[in-house]
Amino acid sequence: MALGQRRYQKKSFVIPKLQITSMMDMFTIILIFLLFSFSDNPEKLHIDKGLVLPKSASQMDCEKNITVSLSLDCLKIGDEHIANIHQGIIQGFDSQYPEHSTLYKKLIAVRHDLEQTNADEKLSINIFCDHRLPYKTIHQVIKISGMAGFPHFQFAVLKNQEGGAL
Amino acid sequence: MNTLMKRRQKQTEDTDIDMVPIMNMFLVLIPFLLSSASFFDINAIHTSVPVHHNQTQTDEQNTKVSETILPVIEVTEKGIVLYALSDQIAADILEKWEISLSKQGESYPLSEILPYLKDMKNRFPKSDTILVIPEENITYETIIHTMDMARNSADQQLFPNVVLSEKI
Repeated sequence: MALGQRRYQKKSFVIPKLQITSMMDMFTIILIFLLFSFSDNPEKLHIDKGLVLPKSASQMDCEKNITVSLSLDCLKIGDEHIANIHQGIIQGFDSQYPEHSTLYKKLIAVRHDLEQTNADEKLSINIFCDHRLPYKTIHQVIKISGMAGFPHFQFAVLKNQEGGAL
Repeated sequence: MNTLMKRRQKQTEDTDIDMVPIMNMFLVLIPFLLSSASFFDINAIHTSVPVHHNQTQTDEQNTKVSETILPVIEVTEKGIVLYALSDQIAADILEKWEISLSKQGESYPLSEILPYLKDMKNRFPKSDTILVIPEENITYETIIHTMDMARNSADQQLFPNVVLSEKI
C-alpha cells in the first residue's frame, strides 16, 4: 500500500515551468537601447572626472591620434600627467622659452617615435579641453605643439543632439 | 452537452511558444552590443595654426587660385568684430563686410554675423578658410560656437577650414 502511494506521488510530480515572459520584456528593452547606442567604431577613452567637453554641431569623427587633455587643473598626454594648471596658466611654462617646458620635450619625443614607425602619416593632435578654460591656456598648448611639429589639431567635442549650427 | 463543452475547452487551450532559443539569441546579442555601445558621441573639429610659407610658394598659388577672401572673426570680451582680408579684391568691396557687434548680456550675437558670412561665401565660393582670433580670456565653449557658426549654416557649408590665431 505504501509502495503504491509512493508510485502515485512520483507520477504526479510536474517539472516547474520557468516564467520567462517578463525576462523577455526586459531583454527586448535592453536590446533596443543597445541597438540605438551601437557604434561602428567604439573607442575606449579615459576622460578626467572634472573635464566637460563643449557641445558642437560638428559631424566629423574623432580620428585616433595623440591625445592631449586639458582639464581645469591638469594637463595630460594620454594618461601621463604633464603639468598642473592654475587659473588657466600651465605651471612650468615660460612664454619666453616654451622649448624648456615639459610638454614640448614630451611632444618632441612622441614625434620622434611616430616618425620612426610611420613616417608618411600626417601628424595631428586630439585636444580634449574643458569648455570653461580660457583661450590663453589652449593657445599655450597650440603654440608648443606647433613648435614641436604638430600644426594640425582636432578639438574633441560632444555631439549636439539637437543638430544645426549653434 | 458535456462532450460539447469538453471539445470547446480543447479548442481554446493555450499553446506555449518555445522562448528558450530567442532567449539564447538575446544572451549572445546583448554582450556583443554592450561591447560596441558608445554612450558619449565624441566628434571633432579640425583646425590648424598659421603655417609659414616661403614667398615663391605663395606666388605660385596666387597665380593658380581664383579670387578668394579670408574672413576674420575677432572674439573680444566686448563683442565680435568681423572683417575680410584679400590681396586680390579692392578695399571698398571688403569694407562692406566690416562689422562690429556688441555682446548681448553674457552671450555673443553669433547668429547676426551669419548673413555676412553667407554673402562672402556666395561672392567668393572658392574661399574655404576662416581665421578666428579670440582674446585670451574667451572661453573654449565660445570659440567652439564661433567655429560652428563659421563652418556651416543650416543650409550650406561656409568655411570648413578654421585657423586659430592670436592678434599680432
